[in-house]
Amino acid sequence: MLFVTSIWADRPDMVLFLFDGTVTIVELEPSKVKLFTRQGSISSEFEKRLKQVRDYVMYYREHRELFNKFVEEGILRTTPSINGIRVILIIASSLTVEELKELNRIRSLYEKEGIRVLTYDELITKISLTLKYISGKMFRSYKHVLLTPDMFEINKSIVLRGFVSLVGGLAI
Amino acid sequence: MLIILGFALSSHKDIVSSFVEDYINAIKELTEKMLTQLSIPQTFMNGLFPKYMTSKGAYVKILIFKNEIQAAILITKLLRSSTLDIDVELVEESIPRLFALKSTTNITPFFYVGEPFCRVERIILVTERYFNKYQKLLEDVSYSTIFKGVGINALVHLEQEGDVKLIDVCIDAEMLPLQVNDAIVRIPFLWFISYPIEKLRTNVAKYHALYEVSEYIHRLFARPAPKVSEAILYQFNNIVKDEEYEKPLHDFLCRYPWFIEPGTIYAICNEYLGR
Repeated sequence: MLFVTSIWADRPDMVLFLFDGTVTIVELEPSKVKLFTRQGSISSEFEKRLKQVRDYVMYYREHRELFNKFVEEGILRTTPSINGIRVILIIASSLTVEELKELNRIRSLYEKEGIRVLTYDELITKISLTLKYISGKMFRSYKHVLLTPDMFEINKSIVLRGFVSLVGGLAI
Repeated sequence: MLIILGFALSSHKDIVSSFVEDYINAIKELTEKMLTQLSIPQTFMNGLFPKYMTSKGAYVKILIFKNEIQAAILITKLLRSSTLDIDVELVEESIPRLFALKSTTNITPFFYVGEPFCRVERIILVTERYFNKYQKLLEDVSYSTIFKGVGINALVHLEQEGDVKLIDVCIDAEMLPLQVNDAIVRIPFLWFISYPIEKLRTNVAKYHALYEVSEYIHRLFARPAPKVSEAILYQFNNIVKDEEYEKPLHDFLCRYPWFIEPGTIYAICNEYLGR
């Protein structure tokens, strides 16, 4: 479901419309961006990107009338609420444990502003798990790895779903 | 007075007729567009999508009682024809009266599950006497919705032999005009009656068409079509194997945006993506 167009001058990479009337702006940045300096503090590149997505959120929250067009076209049920406009920043990969720890701290700060930061590694894991789950591969490997002969049957999908959400935090 | 009433009803017929035309055409256009963009083979959708999305032709019958839509009946017997025929009929008797005699007030939604993705909750066979008057009308119906008034929402299927089958499923509560606690799957056309006839507009038709098609596309990626998801998995694995995965991954995400945010029904990808 792809509609290629450039609707806004600021050009976020992707804009996703959800059925519940929320809008998610996706900003895809290079995977090679260094998030932290050697000293462990936040890099200027990362800071710049965070500022950019924060500007997006603030701009679109202030100019929610921009979405009226999509309401009129029947794409959105209503104009999104302030909290209904969020952004996902996808950036960087191959973080060290220390870097990941620091990133989690930054995440918790930005989460409150409707900004989610996702690394490429996390995104790839998430997609991979989702695909494996829906194609049935995860079910097979899960069964193979975790089931002993005395626990032969898993026929309730709820068990698997619980497992998937435990592993990947997926919402399928 | 009668002339005015007649004029109003005739105008309702026109509104409903053009609305249904917009809806069905939007469904077909969107289905085709999405499947092309997602590179999904036609063979997958034939078994997994409701027939009215895949058949070339369709015959739609809508019943209006007074100024309310009483039933939206979709007949998809026109596989060889590519025409869309819409018949809006003004009926003199309220259809739910037929159900009023039935002591099934605890049974709210019914659904005909003729498609592999629909979950059957229970099947109830009803004797034909409740349907005598409308039996002729309901013959060969593949989907129909009968509702309003007495709090019964039903999709009815007539078997070849003439038995009436009411099949219980749960419904997307958001789309229901009633308060229903259970929520499982959607019923085509049930949303139809939640709008007053005057408010049936092209954008409403487009919105519902988009939602309807998205819903089935989402289902396509769930259990019933493992081959499709395996093909995507293969494609995805090839992308991430390569060191230069960024640009192909961006393109991939544009095609399948719900991997980023489940529930996405519409996505805009910037043409400058990846710069």
